[in-house]
Amino acid sequence: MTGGKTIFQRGLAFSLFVVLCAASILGAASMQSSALVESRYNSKSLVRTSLDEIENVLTSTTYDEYRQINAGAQKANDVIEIDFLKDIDPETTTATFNILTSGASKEELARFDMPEKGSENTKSREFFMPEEPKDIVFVGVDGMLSFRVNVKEAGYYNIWVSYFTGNVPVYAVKRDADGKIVLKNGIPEADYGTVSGVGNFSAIERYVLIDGKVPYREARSIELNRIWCDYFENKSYFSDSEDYMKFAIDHAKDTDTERPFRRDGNGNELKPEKRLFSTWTSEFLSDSTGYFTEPLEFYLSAGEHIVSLQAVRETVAMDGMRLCNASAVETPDYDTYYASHGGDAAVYHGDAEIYIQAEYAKTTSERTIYQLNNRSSVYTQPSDPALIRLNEIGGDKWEYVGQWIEWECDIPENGFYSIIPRWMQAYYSGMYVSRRIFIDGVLPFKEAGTLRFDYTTDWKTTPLTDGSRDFLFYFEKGRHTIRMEAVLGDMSTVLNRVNNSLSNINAYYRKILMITGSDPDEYRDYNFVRLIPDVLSGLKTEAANLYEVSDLLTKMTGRKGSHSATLDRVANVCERMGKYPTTIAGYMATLKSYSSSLGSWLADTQNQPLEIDYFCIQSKDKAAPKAEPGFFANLWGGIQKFWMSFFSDYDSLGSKEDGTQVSDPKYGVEVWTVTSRDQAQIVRNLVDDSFSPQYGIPITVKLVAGGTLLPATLAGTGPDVYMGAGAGDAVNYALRSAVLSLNTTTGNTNVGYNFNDFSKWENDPLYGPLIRENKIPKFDDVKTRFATTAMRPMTLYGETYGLPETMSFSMLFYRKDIFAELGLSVPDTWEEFYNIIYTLQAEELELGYPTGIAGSTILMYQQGETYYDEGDYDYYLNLFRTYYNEKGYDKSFSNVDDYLKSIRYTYQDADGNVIPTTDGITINLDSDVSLAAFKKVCELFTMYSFPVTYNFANRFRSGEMPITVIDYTSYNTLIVFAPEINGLWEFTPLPGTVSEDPQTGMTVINNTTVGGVSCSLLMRSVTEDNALGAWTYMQWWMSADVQTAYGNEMIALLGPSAKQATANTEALSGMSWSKDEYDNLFAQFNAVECTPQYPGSYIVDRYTNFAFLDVYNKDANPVTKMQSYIDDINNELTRKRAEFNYPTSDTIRSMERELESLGYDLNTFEKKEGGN
Amino acid sequence: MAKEKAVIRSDLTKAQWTWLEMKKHKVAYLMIAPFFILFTMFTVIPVVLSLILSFTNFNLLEWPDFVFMDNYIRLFLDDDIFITAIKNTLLFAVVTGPGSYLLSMMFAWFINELRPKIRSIVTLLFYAPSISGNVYLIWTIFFSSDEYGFVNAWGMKLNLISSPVLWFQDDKYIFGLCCAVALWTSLGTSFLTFIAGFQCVDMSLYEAGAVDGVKNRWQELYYITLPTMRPQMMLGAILAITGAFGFGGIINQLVGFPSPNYCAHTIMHHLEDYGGARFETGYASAIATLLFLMMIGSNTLVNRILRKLGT
Repeated sequence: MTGGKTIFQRGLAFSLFVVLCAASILGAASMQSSALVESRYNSKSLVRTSLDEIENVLTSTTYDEYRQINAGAQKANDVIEIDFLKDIDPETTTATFNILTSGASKEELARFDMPEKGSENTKSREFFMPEEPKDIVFVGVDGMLSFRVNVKEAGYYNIWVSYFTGNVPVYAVKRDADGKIVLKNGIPEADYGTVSGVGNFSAIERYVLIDGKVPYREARSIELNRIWCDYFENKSYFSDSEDYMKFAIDHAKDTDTERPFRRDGNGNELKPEKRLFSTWTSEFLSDSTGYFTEPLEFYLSAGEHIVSLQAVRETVAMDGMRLCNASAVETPDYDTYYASHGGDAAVYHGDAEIYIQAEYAKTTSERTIYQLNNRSSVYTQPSDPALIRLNEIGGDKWEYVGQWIEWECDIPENGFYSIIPRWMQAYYSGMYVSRRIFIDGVLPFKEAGTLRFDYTTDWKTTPLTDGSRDFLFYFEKGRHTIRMEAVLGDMSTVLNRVNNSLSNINAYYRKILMITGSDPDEYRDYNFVRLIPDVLSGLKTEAANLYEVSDLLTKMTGRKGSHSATLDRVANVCERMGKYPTTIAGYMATLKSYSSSLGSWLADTQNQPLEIDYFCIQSKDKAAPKAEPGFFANLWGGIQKFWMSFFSDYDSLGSKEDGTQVSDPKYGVEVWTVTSRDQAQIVRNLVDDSFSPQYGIPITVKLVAGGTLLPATLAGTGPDVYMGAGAGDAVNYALRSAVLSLNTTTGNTNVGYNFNDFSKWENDPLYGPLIRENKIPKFDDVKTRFATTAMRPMTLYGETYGLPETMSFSMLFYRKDIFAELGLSVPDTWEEFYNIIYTLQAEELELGYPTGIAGSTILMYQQGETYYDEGDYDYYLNLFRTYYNEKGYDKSFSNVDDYLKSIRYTYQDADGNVIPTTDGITINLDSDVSLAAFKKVCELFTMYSFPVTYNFANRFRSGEMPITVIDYTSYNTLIVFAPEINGLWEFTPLPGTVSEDPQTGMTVINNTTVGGVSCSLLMRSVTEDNALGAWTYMQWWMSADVQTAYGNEMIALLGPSAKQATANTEALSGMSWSKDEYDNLFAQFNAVECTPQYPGSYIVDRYTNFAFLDVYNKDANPVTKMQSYIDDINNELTRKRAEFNYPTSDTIRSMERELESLGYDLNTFEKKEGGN
Repeated sequence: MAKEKAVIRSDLTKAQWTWLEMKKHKVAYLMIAPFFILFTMFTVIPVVLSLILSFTNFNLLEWPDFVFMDNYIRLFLDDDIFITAIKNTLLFAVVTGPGSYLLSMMFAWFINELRPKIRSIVTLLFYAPSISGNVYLIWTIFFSSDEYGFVNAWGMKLNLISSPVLWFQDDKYIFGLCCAVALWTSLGTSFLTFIAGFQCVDMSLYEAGAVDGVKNRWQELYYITLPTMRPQMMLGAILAITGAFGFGGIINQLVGFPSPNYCAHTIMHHLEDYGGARFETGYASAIATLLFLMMIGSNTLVNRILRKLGT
């Protein structure tokens, strides 16, 4: 029906509207009570955040508002020291924690000594007690750690913590037989046998709760930074060591002769490894988004309060915590600073030029900040026309607020110096980025907190400035550390205001949406003035606010540009909507797109990228070093680069110079990967660092374009191991004998090798010792590293043709804040899911679910239904045996079973059972359960009008689609795309199908999801000589340690959005998931089913998609439509099976017919009485 | 250089004679060699190979088996989808081939009437869609299946539709939309050749025509302009035919592969399906051979028609 709305629809809309009016009038009152009712039914399962928790944690109060509420209060001058032993509040503390008392013995300390993973062979970094011994508390990643504090002086307090930057283990708490916690001296005793959690290298994240509630939004995003340093393997020193600093200071000017960086075989410099720098440090808790540069303040009235830290990510060890005033010592302004150090008389006039090469950083706040290669200018120190020189640091790796880099320098004389960096900020045109500088850990003067770097496409050498004047810095003779930190500078207020506006506008948008729906009628009078007067006035306020911010921005940057235009546009729309409520309906779509562009604007503007080549510290009288070469030098550099480009090898990934490799080329294994260059380089480095020393098997890693595998294999120049293949490739290539089996018992090397039995290679000079030392795990052992189902797509009739690399699957994503607002709990079963549909759709919100067969497969697996027809082995086996005994077979085989095996009608499984190759002979989508599932899913789209096509990230961020079932790797998108809703959403296992266990009679919820894998393949190019080498590589790559290292390296390189969906169960726990995320993920990881692949599988998706589209587009009946395509699917399966000589449904039917005509009973396979 | 008279040499065999002539004109052969070698390697040999492979069963990874006419028999007698594909291909070819040809022709003619400066600007405007690569993908934005897609949003706003339509996933609309996109992008090389052709016409011919009694612009076009630019028209026709028959890429990008219910499945797609997804290169080669023959056939046809122009 495409015509106008019928009277019925309009009537319905009107009655709905009346109901809504009533609902919204009762709104405020009913909301609270409904929340209470809901929570009573809440099952409070392990993996889901309960409504209570959500409500305590989610708060719409902003920091600004919080300070308004307590406007009269002053900063407290009292210092409240927290004593870990006495002040811990046992009632509200839910975290696992261990306490080490100040008099701890060496043995006790040793329990908490955590060497970094994979670094046993390097310098040990022992856990050490802080200088004045104190009690240390070790806190796990679960729950809350609460302290009771007695406040004498009411006022604002900052929270100061002293913590350890390294990874620490936290042990489980000892429990007695009744499950009660064993106390020792009033604190829970640790069970040193069981580790409850260890760190995973990401930033330590906590919430702050005062008296059980998060006081304001910003208190939800508190991070304690780690410290990272470089480890130079070739020189075996850390970048914070005295040796390295001496080198960096001595060679700061001369970058051409000696470099600390390792080089690959081609002479390119390789990035040093980032290592966690374990030390004690202290910080005031502050806002990690950077809108507030001062530490966060918490208002405490006089009396007893409970201050809690809720764990989000990472374990932590703390040796001190106090509530006090952070700004006890006032930072002077520049004039005072200048005068106090002697003013003009103290200015240095000497000739010294003290250089600091930016790439010789001492420590960084994050491991994603690493040395980069810049080729844009020949003046970058050092530079090479062809090879990679790590000559700068920063760029887009150093753009998030709070990230810092620290260097060290040696100053020859006391005095005021000017600091001149060679810098470039070519990222955000028309904007400037900010930094603050700490000298020896201290911000020297106020203005040093807002250093400004304007947009430029050329390198610049200008003294540090805040835009109004150049600064001089006072140094005493000797060594100093210089730390530069990315801050929002003057922009912080602007961004904070825009951020608040945006979240208000989004909330208004949702409120309007709940009245109008996503398809508002322009010609209807919704009577907004009466229904939502607060929204109208709010929109006007936000408009005024945005206009003001836009003016401010123009003033700050000195010109009107695209950035202020974005703000003006949004302000304009808000203003109109607020002033003329009748236009609201018409402007809804515009407002939506504008608010999402405002979101992107905010995310972009927060980024503060800056590249630095070097610093030059010198007298203010001297001219700054030349930043860019002249025309001819530039031209000559260009000519050199062009010329050298003919000789550089860009494809092969050079191994490290000193990599030890066995020379015999017959053992060489060629590995192809289709990822990016950076990822391939990580693979190469891991091979050099871990594989080669362990096995001595030479590996060549090649980076190839996708789609090259088929032509290369055809031409006989293919790889030995291919990484990153799709799940369907394994079986498709294997059927055509291009991919080899890993566990074949046929003994035929055209089919594959048996890596359960290494006897073939026992006498080999290279492999022999490895086998005897048990260094190469067997196939069956390797199999256990993955979920059983992950092997299914690569397994066909007993042969496994590859190892899974990644496994991803659908999970349930939902917006906690919206669920809390509506008083809904997350559905555990489909029944609950359907109940939610009504509530959400009544509020005009949407739900998402995978379309067609992708969706119905989930329901099928939850009911234990298979995708293809499988099983019934005895019947088929008897059929084949009887048929060939009757019809006769090639007599060179001693019995019928041997014959059946030779014609691929049966195979032997690992236990030696004879099984017919009849699985997948037909599709099982026409069973009752499958058809019902398909119908149900189709109804979601036809009856419940779920959207078929949508942009998940956009609708999820705006809250329009607060719940959806989607692949869990969407996490990566949300993390970078929608930072403003961080902490407001969660992913959990899917709703399940309820059934009753026939044996126990208990109710079981089956929440299986459907997964997809990618895999590594053993190609037919391998020979007997390097086959075991290839296997060794394949299993090594999928081992937990290597996968963890790879996953962490990826995050280090590409940031938190590069989480690897590894198929290795153990490695998944090593990735930097937060405790909650991991629990949910792991719960679902154990309930995944992967669809098997059989000959002709590709056809299923095609026809089932046709069926779904017919249902959606033409209102066809889902059951009959699906049935009509079943024949087409089965025909293709039959055709493909015939091509590879597997039994088909046709051959089986003709066998049955023939046997019947010969008088056989097909139930017993015996000749009937009187048969001929 | 005066034309050499052909000499009959009875003392030489034909092969010797050819060799002798080749040696004499070796510079010419040298000049043609680079193109000729590449053409042979990348066009002639593959076509011949594909012809041979069409008689085999070949899965790309294993050695082919000779099956003689099996592929062709199956193609005509046991492949419903191929029949659909032929139908679709012919339909597409009939709509987009002549359509784009005439469109190019008309636009070229109109543009030719403009002043030179304006002409070059307008030419660029019309030519732009076909040089800017995948720019036709903006159609997927206009006709997005999302309720926020332009057409859906407007359709719902104006109450033309009540729920979002899956434009590129619904067989009702796919065919029409794909034709529209094809026509939109069709003002390509042939359009430029036509413009060039129009400008090559000797102005004195028009004068002569006027003297001889041409009454209107149509007669001028038919009797003078078109016959003069026959070579350009021939090129345009060949491009239009190959374009129309090989019209698969755009559909893949817009609709995805395969199209719902095979409603926009052309021979090209069928070929891709078997050659790519199903690893049946022998069968795919048979399809390719048929496509090749169809193209040759229609080329000959067009050639004949063009020869009749102006007579």
